[in-house]
Amino acid sequence: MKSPQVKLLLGMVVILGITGWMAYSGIQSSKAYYITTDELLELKDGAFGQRLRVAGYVMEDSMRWEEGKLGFSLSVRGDSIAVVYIGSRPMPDTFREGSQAVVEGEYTRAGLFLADLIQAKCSSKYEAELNSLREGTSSEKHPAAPGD
Amino acid sequence: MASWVAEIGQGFLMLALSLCLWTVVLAWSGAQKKEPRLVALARKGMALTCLAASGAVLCLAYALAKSHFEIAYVAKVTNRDLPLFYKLTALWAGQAGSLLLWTWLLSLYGVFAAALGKRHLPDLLPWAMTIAGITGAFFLALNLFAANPFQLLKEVFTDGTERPFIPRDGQGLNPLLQHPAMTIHPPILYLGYVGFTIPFAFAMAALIVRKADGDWTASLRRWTLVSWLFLGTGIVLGGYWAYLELGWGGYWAWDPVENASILPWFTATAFLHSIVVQQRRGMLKGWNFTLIAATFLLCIFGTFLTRSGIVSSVHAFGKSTIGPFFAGFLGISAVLSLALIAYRWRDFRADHRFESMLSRESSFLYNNFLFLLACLAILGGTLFPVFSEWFTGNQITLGQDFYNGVFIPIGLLILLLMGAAPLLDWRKTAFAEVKRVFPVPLSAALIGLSIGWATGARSLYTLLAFALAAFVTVATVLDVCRDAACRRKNRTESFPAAFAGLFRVNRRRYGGYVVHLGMVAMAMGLTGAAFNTHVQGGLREGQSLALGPYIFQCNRIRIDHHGNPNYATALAEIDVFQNGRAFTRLSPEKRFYFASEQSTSEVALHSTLREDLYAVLSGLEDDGIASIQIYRNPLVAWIWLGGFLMALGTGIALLPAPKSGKGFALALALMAAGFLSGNPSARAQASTRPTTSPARLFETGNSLQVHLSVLMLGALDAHTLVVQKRYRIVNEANAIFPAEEGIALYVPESTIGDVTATIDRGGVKSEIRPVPDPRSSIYRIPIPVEPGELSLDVRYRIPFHPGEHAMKEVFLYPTHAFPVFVFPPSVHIRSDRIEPVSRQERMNRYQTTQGFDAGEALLFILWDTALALEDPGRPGTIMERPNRLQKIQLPLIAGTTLCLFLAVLGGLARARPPKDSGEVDSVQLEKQVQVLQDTLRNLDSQRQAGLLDENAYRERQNEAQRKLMRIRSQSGWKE
Repeated sequence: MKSPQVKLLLGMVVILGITGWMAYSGIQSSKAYYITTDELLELKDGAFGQRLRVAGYVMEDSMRWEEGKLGFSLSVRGDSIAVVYIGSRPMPDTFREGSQAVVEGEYTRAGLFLADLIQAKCSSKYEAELNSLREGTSSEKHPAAPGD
Repeated sequence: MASWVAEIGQGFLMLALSLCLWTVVLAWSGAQKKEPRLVALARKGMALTCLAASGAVLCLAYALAKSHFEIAYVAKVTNRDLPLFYKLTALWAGQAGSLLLWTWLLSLYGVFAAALGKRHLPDLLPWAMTIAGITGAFFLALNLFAANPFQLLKEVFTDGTERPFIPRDGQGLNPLLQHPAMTIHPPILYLGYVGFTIPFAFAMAALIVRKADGDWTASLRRWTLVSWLFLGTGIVLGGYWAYLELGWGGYWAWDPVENASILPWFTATAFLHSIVVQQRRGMLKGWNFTLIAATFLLCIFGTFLTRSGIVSSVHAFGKSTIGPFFAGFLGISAVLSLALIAYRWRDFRADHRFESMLSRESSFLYNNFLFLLACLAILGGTLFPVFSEWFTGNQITLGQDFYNGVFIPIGLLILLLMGAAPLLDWRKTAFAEVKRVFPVPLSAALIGLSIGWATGARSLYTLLAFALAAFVTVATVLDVCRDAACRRKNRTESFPAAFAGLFRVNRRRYGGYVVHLGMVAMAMGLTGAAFNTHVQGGLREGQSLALGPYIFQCNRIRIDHHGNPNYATALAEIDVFQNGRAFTRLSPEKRFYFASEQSTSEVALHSTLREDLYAVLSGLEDDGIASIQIYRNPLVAWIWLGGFLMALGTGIALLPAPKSGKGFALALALMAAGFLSGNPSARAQASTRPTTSPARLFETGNSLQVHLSVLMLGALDAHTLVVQKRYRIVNEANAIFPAEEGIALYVPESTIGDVTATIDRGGVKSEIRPVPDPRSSIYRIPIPVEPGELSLDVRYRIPFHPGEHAMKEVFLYPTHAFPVFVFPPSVHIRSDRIEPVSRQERMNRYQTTQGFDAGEALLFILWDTALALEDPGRPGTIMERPNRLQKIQLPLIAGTTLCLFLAVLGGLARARPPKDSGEVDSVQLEKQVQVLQDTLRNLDSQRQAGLLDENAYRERQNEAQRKLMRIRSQSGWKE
């Protein structure tokens, strides 16, 4: 008869194994490379066929709504990428033109990023230095300048 | 002029830091020399530190309330028109202020710990004060040198000169934080985070003086329980806030900051269970110390994660400079505390060994293992981007799949243990006992399983959750009932009396059971997410959506900007019909906050125990179409109910034993006090509702005030928007502002055609053509502003783009900015909506005044419409049905926690020895039971060895068993 200590340990090893396996499959199914739009464009062919999480600024005047689809351009400082979101979740309140956003999905060979998840950072205003206050007029004159 | 508030606040902070350092020195030397007088001085130092920190907090609160915008923090998190309540809660809306709150709470805890430690743990106190003091000094230093809430704004010129700068208005509080749950969530969470410093300090002190065991662990457990309660309630309130304010229909997203708050909760939960094993069986001692240290370190780590910005998160305070300080503090305390534990490892020799798989201590061990596993998995997932960047150069983030995949099975196993463990005996459970106690709960599990199946659940996890929830509930209730029945039989008490007696004698155990039931309720609520359904669509007035048995009809879309200086709001009124019958009305809002120029969604919720109906107005599109999301989320209310039970159960375990009805009355009184103090937060929401008073958009001293009293928006056609504003200009200064300075008006560059302005000076009206500035889109209105009052109507047209949410109006007298919100669509005017004023009557009214053109008439009709629609008593509509459950949720959780806070402090402060009667009772009984069981076993072996004859054996056996029975019946004790 095995001692209780061994049995206790065995049980833990079993649980550990199951959890490890769950963690592994969870990592496989949900991992996403977190990159910026610039890095995405640098990746070229390497960017296709995997889940990506891309950060950038939503370009001014680029948002278009159309029959449940949302299109916009995302950029950090270089070229922008076109993003299309098809889904039912309402956009976060902080998501708007000029705001920092993170999109998750796949990059297609057509040069279109198909996003299934969109997250927005707080508008740059909160992160902006207090300089904007000092200028007295408005922080809108401080758009989320790409790259600042 | 330098700000006196800032100066005083700064002074208090410096005073607090020096007092705190002095306390550390005194406590340390007191500990070294074992000199009680030094320790007494250190306690006074602790109290003075707390006073000084309180002074700093009061200064900041005063500066916030009085809008001292020369202080950078105040300018950053508030604006003039913010309601006072939110001005005060802005104390913890930003980095520096929340750190100050943290420091202050720590000093408060320190004073309590010093007062209680003096009475109960005099030998540990000096060291504990040293450790807590060092932590406090670290936070005070951070507040002074890295994140100072009293820093003044400065203007730096190109030549390097500086001068103080006072903005006219602040940037405003993040609208997402303008919610009652958010006002109370951070302080409660901090009470949890900060509170773990005290058990950590005492534990480390115990290691230093080599006192790893003993009665004092009851105190340790008590302190941990207090912090654990606040941390747990804080997390639940955070979820509640996210559910109501973020508008995506969920409450938990495995965000790094959320993860950071749950990690110490896991380790603390593990500790609360394993300390029982130490107290009962003298096992797992080193492990307990490791857990308490880990909890403290995870708290610091969570703060580090939230404030340093190393992991991207929606909650994070953004990149900041205080990260390295935290990393350093975390590293040093981790190394020191773990080294101390390792150094004293020999003190942790266990008194017993594990004897069987089927025993209470084994189940506790597994509980610890599972909590630790969950903690490590989530920690790993949270830090995965950081590690993957170190090793592969790429940041890899993990999504919901990972966290759910790992946590759900662990959670289910924990649930299983929660039901099974109380049925098992200490040391070893006989198989006969298993056969006796398990069948009923197991059959309940089967029933739960079939209920799950009947409601349409098909996934393994969901079915298991149903089964386990039934299992735990029945096992727990049955156990309590059995104990009560036993007590009733042996004491000839009535059943309720026996029940109450159980809770009186062993509150820790039965309070724990209530917490367990709360966890079951929470698990059920979480399981409900598997059945969530939702529907969305663009609705015009009169159109509807269907979901399950419900029909959601958009009754009216309303834009409301009447005089609330804080925000304007768009509101969709949705009448809900259930199976064709009127059910309720949901009114989701979209708000635009002027100062921060942000919009937020205010969801509308109808909550029942069965399901939540949750409506979001995510936008107003072209042509007056409101895009509406409706979620039907079953069982969500059970999560908040579970939070309440958790607080209640912890309260039962914590409250001092009520010797008589007096104690009970005291608890009730405190409960009432808690509810009352929980209520202001609920009222605050009401106070921010629009009022009909004219908007005071800004004021510039008392010399010249500008009020915006009318703001009318309307569409002439699908592409043109008309903006009309009425300014009331009150010149209280005895001076004329000449026409050359005049009033300058900024209109959008896209303005089509002319801008017209009408001046009304005491009834004398004159039309003035504003002069465009050739270089900018500023129009100058050349009129002198004489002392007295004048009103100015300005009207212009702009093209209408659906995507353009807001535009800016700059009123340049003096240079200042305020935003005006334009909702993308115009309100659609439909004759049938303007009942109170008949069409003919309205036309007459406008015809009798001067000739309005079409656009203008439209504007006034719009105005009338808005006023008419305000009339609440329109016939034929569903009036809002009060949703009691939803209304009481927040006050319930927050109120209970607050009342518990008072009760706990009151209870801890009352002179009770660290071990209360209930625990002594059970510990002693446990020992007696063990002795008796050993006796029985000895008798067995003696008989087998032939040392006892049959009669003597029977006699002694009967006697021992009789004693055993008596002990069991005395307290409903299970062996």
